[in-house]
Amino acid sequence: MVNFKDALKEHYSDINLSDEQLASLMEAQAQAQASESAHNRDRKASRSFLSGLAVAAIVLLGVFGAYSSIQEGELAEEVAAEMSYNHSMKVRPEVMTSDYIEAAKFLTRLDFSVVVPDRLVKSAWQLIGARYCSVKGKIAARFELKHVASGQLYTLYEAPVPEGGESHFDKRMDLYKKGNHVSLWKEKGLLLGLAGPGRLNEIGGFNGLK
Amino acid sequence: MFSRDELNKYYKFAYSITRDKDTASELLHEAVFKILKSGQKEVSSSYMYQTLRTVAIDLWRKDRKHQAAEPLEEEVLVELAAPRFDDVFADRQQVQKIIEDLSEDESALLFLHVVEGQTVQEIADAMATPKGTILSRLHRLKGRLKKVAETQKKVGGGYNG
Repeated sequence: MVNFKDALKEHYSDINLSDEQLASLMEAQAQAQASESAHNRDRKASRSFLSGLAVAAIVLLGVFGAYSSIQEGELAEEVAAEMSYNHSMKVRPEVMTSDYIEAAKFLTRLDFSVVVPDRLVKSAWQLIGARYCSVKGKIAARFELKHVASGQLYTLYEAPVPEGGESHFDKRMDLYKKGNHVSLWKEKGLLLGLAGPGRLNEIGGFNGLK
Repeated sequence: MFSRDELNKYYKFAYSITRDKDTASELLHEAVFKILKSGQKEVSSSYMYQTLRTVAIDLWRKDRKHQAAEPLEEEVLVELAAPRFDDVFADRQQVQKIIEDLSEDESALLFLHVVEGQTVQEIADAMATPKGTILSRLHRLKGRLKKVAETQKKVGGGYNG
């Protein structure tokens, strides 16, 4: 017989993040801090620039365009970092299936309908399983895929388009975050993301131009 | 912002709610991103526990199974003092079973009170629940644990090692 208090403490002493998980979270924090400093610098620079040039309409239009592009970039960076982190966690699928329709029957808590990704060449990718995840705080679906040619595992995400991203991701965006390549694009009103070890441009398996 | 020790502490708390290492990791990740996005430089433990709990509830809200299991709030103050858990004895396997049978809230409560040594007020703040409810739940939990331990003793159970 053991003291319940000691036994409970002992139970939790074995629950720790892996070195990989810890490193990933520490890096995410460092990146957020670095990005905040850069953002503050940009804001200051932007203020003095605007006050210097006053009211020239053409300049304002240019600044608006640049700002929109920065916004898209920042959002994509955040989403890609989250997807890359989740991919690195290598969590097990909750349902094992090679069929998106079967996976959809399991993912009943989603606020959207799972789509069969048209942009991914069917013969190039093999679906292994699916589970829930979240992207930018919204419940989403993640699929484990095998890249047939290389045998490497990738994670495909299907999520609602994040707030502020409605006019973005019309063209595929390729990013490299936290040791993984992440490609983002929109399909049937959803944001799709593919995270894994290879660049889509190099490994192939994507329909249409970037 | 969060040290490795803090991240591990919050991971244990997330695990106490989810009882699943993968889900706990996702929960922690989601909460850390939420904090980073808010731009807050320093957050208290209490705030982080609350964030983890809120994120967990958000993720589970649509799950009917969890909704049904969501405990009702009780405002009954059973006793003034928080119970101690160092006078409850059980064998190791029994402890494991007891932990598995706890609800998410009970598990989080025990983690904060027994493992982290938090006061009732601190737990009430972290779980956004009235102090009386926390006390009531702690007393009920202790009563249940003692009952399980006594039943085990009566049937002559117990495991070696």
